[in-house]
Amino acid sequence: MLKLLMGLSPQIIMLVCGLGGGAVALAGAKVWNDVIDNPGIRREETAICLARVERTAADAKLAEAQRQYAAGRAAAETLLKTQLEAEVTRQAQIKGLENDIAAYERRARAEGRSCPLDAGGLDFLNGVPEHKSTP
Amino acid sequence: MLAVSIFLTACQSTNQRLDAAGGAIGKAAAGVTIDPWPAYCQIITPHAQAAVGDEVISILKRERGQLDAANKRTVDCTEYYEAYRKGLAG
Repeated sequence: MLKLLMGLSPQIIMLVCGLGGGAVALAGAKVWNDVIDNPGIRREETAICLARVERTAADAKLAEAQRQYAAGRAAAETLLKTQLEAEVTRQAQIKGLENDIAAYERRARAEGRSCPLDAGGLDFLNGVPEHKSTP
Repeated sequence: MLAVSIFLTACQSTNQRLDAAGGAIGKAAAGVTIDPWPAYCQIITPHAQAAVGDEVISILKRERGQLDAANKRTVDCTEYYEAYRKGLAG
């Protein structure tokens, strides 16, 4: 082998050595690329993607909570306004109702149609069993 | 130039997908938080007062007034719930 190499011209030897060195360098570069560089890039890219998703998710969670809060608040404010109006209306209705009742009772008494509630009737209204209300 | 455009478009598409996924995850994580049922809607409407000697028709009239008030509250609370539900549905 050595004899064969010695028989070759220096140019050929340099060419062979150069090609061999290049092949080794290429193989080394491929191993470095596959084992070290690409996994590192993948880890880095995954971390970047994960961070982006986590940030977006946190923003979306906050936005959703705020949206739900706003929906509840809007509905509650409308209900409060309705409640206040209903209470004013109710007070006016009670006043009108009592006036109507007073007028009706005067008319019923004048016409002899009065029908007052007795104890038995009250017990019945209150759900007291009949046998308990009768002596 | 074309290669750069394709590269940027690909990145944009990926970012859009990531953002969509993140948005969906965040929205799901938020869940649905329901406000407590309003105190106004929890009010129990009492019967009208009735006592011995009261005019029977008058008692009935007052009782109907109480029923009207209870029905009004039911309608108000139904409208509240519908508005709230639509608001949550977005």
